[in-house]
Amino acid sequence: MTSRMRPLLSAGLALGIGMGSFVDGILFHQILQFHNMLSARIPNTDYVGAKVNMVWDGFFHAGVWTITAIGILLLWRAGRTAGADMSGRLLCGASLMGWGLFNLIEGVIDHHLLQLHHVYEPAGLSIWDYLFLMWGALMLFGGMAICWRARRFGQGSVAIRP
Amino acid sequence: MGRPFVYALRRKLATSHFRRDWRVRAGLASALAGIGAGPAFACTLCPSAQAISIRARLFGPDLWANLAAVSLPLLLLLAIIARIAREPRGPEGSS
Repeated sequence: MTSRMRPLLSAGLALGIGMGSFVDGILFHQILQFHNMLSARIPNTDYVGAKVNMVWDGFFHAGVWTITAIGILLLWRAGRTAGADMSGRLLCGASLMGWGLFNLIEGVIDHHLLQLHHVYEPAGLSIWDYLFLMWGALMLFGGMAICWRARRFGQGSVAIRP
Repeated sequence: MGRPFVYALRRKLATSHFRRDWRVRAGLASALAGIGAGPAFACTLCPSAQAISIRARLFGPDLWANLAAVSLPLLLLLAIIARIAREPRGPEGSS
């Protein structure tokens, strides 16, 4: 990694983590309702359990909202950093890396180590949790490959301090 | 938006017709709001009987453990972002 890639790489990572977390929260927690934040500890099959899980989902969303806001600030800062690589390829690769990183870290800690919830809660720890990790690893390595190509082949757009 | 606009607004607000109209509208709106909010009890965490059970479960002895567990991956991810965003001390080429 070169120092001129660092500003956009960190911004893309934060945005990818934020967007990936929102996909998890909105798709799996709310639309499909496969699991909630603490659904392996507090079953969400009755009214009280569902409401308590809803509160913890809220804390999770508050956290990922903060990470997304940090990503926007880092992106703004990258745009003002003289000489920073501002290529779209680097931003896409970094965002993909961030999403993959989220799946891997959240998957390992919450699904496997702490057993807070599982991807498909009725099945417990199942093949879906391993597929979730594999999906994360694929995105992480795919993102790394895109960033590597951005470094190797393209100079990209360079931010110029006004 | 200059002074002429402010003067025109003051004149408009001072007319008796507008004042009467404004009071009627405010009365209707508050009556409608009162009727709508009364039986709904939309905030189930505020006054309902189930709220006691929910609060008891939420603020149980495992509150801090749950909070730590929910925060842990997010803090780890934040640390990774901070590690990459931070400029290394001293001159750096490619690493």
